[in-house]
Amino acid sequence: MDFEWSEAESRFRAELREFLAQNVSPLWGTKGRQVPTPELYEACREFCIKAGEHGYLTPHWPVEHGGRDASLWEKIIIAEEMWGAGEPRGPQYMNVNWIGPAIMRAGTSEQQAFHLPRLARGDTFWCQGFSEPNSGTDLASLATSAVPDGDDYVVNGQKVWTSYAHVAQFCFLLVRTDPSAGRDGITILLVPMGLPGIEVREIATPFQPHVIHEIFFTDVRVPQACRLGEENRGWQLVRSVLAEERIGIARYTFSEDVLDQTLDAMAQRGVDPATDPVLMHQLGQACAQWEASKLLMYAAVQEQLDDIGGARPMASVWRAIGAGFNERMARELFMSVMGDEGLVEESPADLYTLLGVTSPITSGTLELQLNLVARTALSLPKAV
Amino acid sequence: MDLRVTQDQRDISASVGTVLHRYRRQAIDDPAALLAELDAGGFLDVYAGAGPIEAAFVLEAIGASAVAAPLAGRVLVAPALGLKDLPAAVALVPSLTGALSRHAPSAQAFLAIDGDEAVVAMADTCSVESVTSRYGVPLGRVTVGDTVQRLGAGSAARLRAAWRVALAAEAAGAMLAAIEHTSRYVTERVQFGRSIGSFQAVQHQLAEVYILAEGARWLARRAAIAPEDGYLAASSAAFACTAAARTYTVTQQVSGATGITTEHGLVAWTMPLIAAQTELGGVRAHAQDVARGRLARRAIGTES
Repeated sequence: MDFEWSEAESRFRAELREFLAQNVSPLWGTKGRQVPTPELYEACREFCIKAGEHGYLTPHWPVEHGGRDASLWEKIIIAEEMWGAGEPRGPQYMNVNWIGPAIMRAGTSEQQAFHLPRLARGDTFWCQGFSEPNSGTDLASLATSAVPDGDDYVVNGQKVWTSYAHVAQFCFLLVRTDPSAGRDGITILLVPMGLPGIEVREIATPFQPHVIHEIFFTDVRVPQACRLGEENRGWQLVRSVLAEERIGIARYTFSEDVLDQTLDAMAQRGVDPATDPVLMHQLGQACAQWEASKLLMYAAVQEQLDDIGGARPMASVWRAIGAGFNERMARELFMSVMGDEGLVEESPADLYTLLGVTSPITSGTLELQLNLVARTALSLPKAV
Repeated sequence: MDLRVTQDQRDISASVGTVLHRYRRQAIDDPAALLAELDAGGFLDVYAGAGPIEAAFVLEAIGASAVAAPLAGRVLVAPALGLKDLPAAVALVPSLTGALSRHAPSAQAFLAIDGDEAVVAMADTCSVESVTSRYGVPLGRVTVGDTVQRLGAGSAARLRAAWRVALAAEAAGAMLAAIEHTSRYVTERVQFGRSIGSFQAVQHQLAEVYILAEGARWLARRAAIAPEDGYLAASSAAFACTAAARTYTVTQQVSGATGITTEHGLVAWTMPLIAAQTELGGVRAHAQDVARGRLARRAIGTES
């Protein structure tokens, strides 16, 4: 058991850190991740193209698909450093972590030749068309229909809570192709967002523009050539690739970066946290939790590397603490540190008012992760 | 980075577990027989023989077995300070005069904090008054005598760090065992025609404390190999204390009235978990030190 990074891993991290220092737009800050403005969209796109050119987007992909078969640990270093810099990849982390791998696993040679180089270059944006008004955590009940008609599917329905829909060129869309078969009636379509009949509407929140959207599909003709994998077999594929996504999001480095920003902001106002024992207690508790969280992610990575088959409880353990407990604690801490100053729009604490709420909800709710931990780690009976 | 648990580490855990099994869930007035067995198996010197992580594995096993014996001092703390040839039963004392010390009544030697210095004292030079307590850990009030070996300025910080790691590792083992015991119980216990472990209200609480206990275990292992890193050590203790408090509350709650009986057995883990929460000043002291460490690192980063 060795907790130290190897010399090669440390060198890779240092090079990446240097690249980030030189290439992350000064506009990005802490607010850019949802690409809420055209300027931030351009900043994100330019950054991703440069990252692609330097091999920092897909080093863990196989050589034949533009990667270099880098270790999972390198992928984690990238995640830590990117999140520590405010995740300047924007939505690209989805592309490289699971959309690309899904296309590698189930795509036709034409789909792979078309999509994978674009994903590796970093110049396309995707959104995921999963949740619907009546299908959230119970995703397998989704109803957006795709009916075969000649060489096309005709898609009708509505997706909701979709991040990045306002800038995406493609949607990784889950549709129902068999109304009577539950999860065995779900198919994946790789849908160009410019097709006639697709309408994106922003859903207003009090936080910042373009946090979430809804997408309406009205008689959208999607070529059958856009289907990923077999018809009605989409659920199994999406489950397996999303399990891998659970361990690629190093939010703790982002929290630490935002903590430094809150402390800087308060130092400029002459506030020293060391004089406040209550705040010091809260700060100590949060830092200890981030350290634990980091190690639990590493343990989840090791679990994946060991690949002993069966359930992977540490993946859900990590996701619950990393996206659930941490973000809530960070939200409370940052507002405590900043006090009234945290109420100022776009202050670091203001940003976490959003993240502290959304992180335990997105990509499988905290409750879902706790269910998985209960079943896979504690062998508790399935809830009825 | 390589977090595989090696075969040697598995073997150490399994074999120390076998020794401890016969003593499990017992308060031991005279630990001599247990200590002799552990010594014969090389477990008291596992730090020097195998390494600090392996010492953390042994302490996890001790916590999981709910064996109340003075082991943390000898297995992890003393070797982290570079001390050799101490007797088998070493207890830890937070100050020189009148402080409460776990396992003091059966200790042969004490490691104590005196300002910024750590000291070693043999038990026959100290006064120990037994104290009655119901928390599964024998307590004594210790006054260290004048005959001590001083370990030098700054050594108290190293003692405190190693002590924190030891308490985190032992508490993590106890938490995981308490959660496993409780998970079995709620699976077997039927109310409203179904296993109570199938209710999400029960599942989510147990899942939450399992996550915290795993975090404590990994943080203790990480801190064990960096005995000079007071920030990591304080983090491991702060996190373990918070996790221990929640684990006590949840496991007792979902076990209902049965859970508080000696016969059911859960209290053998949960009562020492309460004791762990107060050790070395408890979570307040640990968290303050984490915060101080974080601010100090930040100051260094700013300067460089």
